[in-house]
Amino acid sequence: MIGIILVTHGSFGSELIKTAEMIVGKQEEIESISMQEGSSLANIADEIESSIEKYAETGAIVFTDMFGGSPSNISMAYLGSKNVEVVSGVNLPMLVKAISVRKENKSLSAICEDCAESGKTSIIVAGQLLKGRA
Amino acid sequence: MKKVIFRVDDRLIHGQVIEGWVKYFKINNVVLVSDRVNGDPLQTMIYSSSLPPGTNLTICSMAEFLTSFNFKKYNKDFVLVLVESIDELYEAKGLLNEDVYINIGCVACREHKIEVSNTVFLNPAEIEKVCDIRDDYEVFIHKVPWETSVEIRNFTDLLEGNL
Repeated sequence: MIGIILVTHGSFGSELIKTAEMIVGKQEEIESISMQEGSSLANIADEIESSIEKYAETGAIVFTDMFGGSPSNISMAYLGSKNVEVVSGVNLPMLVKAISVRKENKSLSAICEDCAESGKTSIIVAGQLLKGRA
Repeated sequence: MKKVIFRVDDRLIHGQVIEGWVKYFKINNVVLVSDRVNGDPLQTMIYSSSLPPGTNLTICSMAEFLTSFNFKKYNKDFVLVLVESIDELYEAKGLLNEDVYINIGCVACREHKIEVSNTVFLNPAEIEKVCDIRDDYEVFIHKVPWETSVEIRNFTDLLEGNL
């Protein structure tokens, strides 16, 4: 199964996994790497590298919280690795989507596209829905 | 705020720099000085794509920076110069002057470090260099603009790891 690695500022990633598991149950092959203030980039890079290695055969998606942030910048350096894709802006619907769609027989890039789409379409300004009804 | 900001940040362009400095002061010009990034197409792509649209990014080697950086080119517009280490700031000491805001933002925790702030960890050799720069210019530990900056005054305290 394709591995899911969350690389985020602070404990956002580990908490997001816990939250997703409240919805979809306990998951395997999912992990988080937390970047704290004062964390060394080299150490985080080592952690990402060893996580990616675990999924060398199956492939891995690295989800990051914010494009342009350090977790994203470091993760993107692994884009050249075989079977690795990086998706930024992770949110709960995106992660839930990833958990379900990785069980399907789809390519890594197709799964990532599904995740990105799900993450984007889940963002709704609720007031706009009411306006549509009026 | 002075228009020319020299920042030491081992993460170079990241959240604090984008959301903090670049957007806060509407900085249009960023100069990233790094031999490592300059020679690496993937790193160049990563940092080039991370800034908000409309921000001009120049990536150059330290040698190029030392020979070609020209304050006047920016014509009183903001320019943020990013270097990765205290050693590199020290290398560029000749370019510093009273009009430059010298900012130490993020230097990660390593072995034998001294915690100078929650994002800045320096070894004694680096502290000596900061002190040497401080003999001529003010140096501030300043993570993001809306947080209080700490001016480094007391060298003895700093060497003991206190501010």
